[in-house]
Amino acid sequence: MGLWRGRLTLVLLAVLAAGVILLPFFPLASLILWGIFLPLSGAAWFWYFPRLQKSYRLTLSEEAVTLTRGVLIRRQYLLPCPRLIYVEQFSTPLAGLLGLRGIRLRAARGRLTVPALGKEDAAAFLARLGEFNRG
Amino acid sequence: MSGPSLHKGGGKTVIRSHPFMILAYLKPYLFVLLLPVLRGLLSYGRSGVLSRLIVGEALLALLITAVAVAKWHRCRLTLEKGYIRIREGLFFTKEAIIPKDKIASMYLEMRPFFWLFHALVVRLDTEAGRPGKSDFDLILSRRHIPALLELLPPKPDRAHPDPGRLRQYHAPTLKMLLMAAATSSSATGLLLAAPVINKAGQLLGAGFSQRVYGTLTQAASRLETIIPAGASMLAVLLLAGFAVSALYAFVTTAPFRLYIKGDRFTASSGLIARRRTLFRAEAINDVLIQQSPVMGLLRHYTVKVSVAGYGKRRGETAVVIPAAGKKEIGGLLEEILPDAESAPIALRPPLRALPRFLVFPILLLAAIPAAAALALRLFPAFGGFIRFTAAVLLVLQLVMVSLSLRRYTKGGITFGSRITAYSSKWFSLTEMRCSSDRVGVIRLLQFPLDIPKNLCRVRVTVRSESAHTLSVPHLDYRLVRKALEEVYRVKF
Repeated sequence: MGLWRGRLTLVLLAVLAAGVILLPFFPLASLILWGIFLPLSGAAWFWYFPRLQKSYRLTLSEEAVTLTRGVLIRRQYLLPCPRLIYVEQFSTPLAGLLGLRGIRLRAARGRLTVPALGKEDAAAFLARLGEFNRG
Repeated sequence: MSGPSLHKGGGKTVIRSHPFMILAYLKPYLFVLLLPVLRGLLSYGRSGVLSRLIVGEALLALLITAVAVAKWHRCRLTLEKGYIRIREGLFFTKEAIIPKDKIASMYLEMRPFFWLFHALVVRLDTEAGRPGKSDFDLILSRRHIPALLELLPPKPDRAHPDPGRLRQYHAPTLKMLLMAAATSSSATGLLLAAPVINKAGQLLGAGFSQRVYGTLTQAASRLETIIPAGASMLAVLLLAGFAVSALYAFVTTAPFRLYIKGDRFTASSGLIARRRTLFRAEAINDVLIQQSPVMGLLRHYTVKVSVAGYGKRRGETAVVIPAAGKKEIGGLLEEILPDAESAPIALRPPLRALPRFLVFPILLLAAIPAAAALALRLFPAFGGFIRFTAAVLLVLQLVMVSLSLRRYTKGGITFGSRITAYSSKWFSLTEMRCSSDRVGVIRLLQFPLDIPKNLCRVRVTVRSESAHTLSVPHLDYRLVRKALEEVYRVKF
């Protein structure tokens, strides 16, 4: 959740800066921009992100990896383990600062992305996946 | 700046990338930033005047170069027992962990300039990648070749029981010329030549592009004695495009050698930049035997394979046999790909489907002179151009009629442990052979006019990164359904 809030903060700062720059020239446009963006950001911060965090379910078994997520649209993904080709760990600057890693599982003509896990959780997940593949 | 290094320890081999990776990271900025900065600095050397813009651009170029150096420093390939790790990126970092047995192909390219500095382009591909792009693109030192070859060691299998025995196939130069000419197209040549001319114009000055186009215009004016004025420029452009494409195809694919050791194939090609693609027999998803119209005149075929990563690069075709006659192909395939045996075609288009194959092409054949006659009445000033265009279109349409007839006489499909399908892809007659476990999807399509005649179109898609698909039209629907129900033990 910290990562999503961090990204929203950066976007908020950019929008505020754009509004401040535009204010002397297009005051109405700036006010409308703030008027739309600030309430939406508040809704995202206090309502959407906590629910999105709660909605994430990641399970790993010998047969498949499943991921469930979503607030407004509920999505469920299933990747059979035998179809898994390789895995990728990735990180962005902000995620790296917060000690988070994403994992991307790649299959032929498909992939499954787990966006933000703690470093230890990511390492444990990969270790378990490696055990299943070896077995 | 430290060079590429190889560290071994703890069962791991760490391979650092070659400093040429820095050039690869800087490539997107070459024409928009680096070359203008260089030109600005050179003009400062001559005139002694340095503008603020050039100073700003130079600082930006320094920053980008520093980031590229840092990215190069982090980039490494680690060989561990059973799998490899590839780490890339500076701010947006990525580390891929790939089991060695999931590597479908490895591509090694030795370019002339790179060869001077012992650098080598290495690309690794798996079935999980995108069709047009390599999974992993690195520049390593040539001395890492032995370590890289360990990623795909030759192993024995049913078809290749002796991993120590080396078999080779060298394609004759004439066959390579034939394949280059048969697989070239004017459109490809023009797409290749245009950016090269533009970039050369940027480097050498605006006059260069004008000179090239002026030469083409002169050639077109000479052709006006034979063909109409409007068509001559088009003909020159198409011929020039074709020549560029054929030359590029020949230089990048000849000389072609195929080495087979155990179950490992190495396809080697390229005159100026030597390319090698290594893959295992088990990575071959399907075999395509194709005959383009030009090849058809000489009764030759090309054999291609579908392997993730092979045939992806511009100018590379995933061939194993560039050009050979039918009997020669039979013998060669038995030797190099014994598993790619063909099954006799069991399901062929019935007689009632013959009009489907011929009606539309013949109608078009009749429509071309009619359209030309109408155009001549409406635009008499362009008479010569219209007649020339109509003649060219008639020739192309006659080729299509011949192709349609051959699709009827030879087309069809067989289902079983091995699937053999014969149809056409664009202008080429194509036979596809694959194992049934490589098939991704089989689609049966019936359009409104097919249902009363009990006909269908069968589309077979192979389960692979590039997903070859072959469509066999106008087969008997009931017979196809019955064959699928028997082979796959399903009920429709």
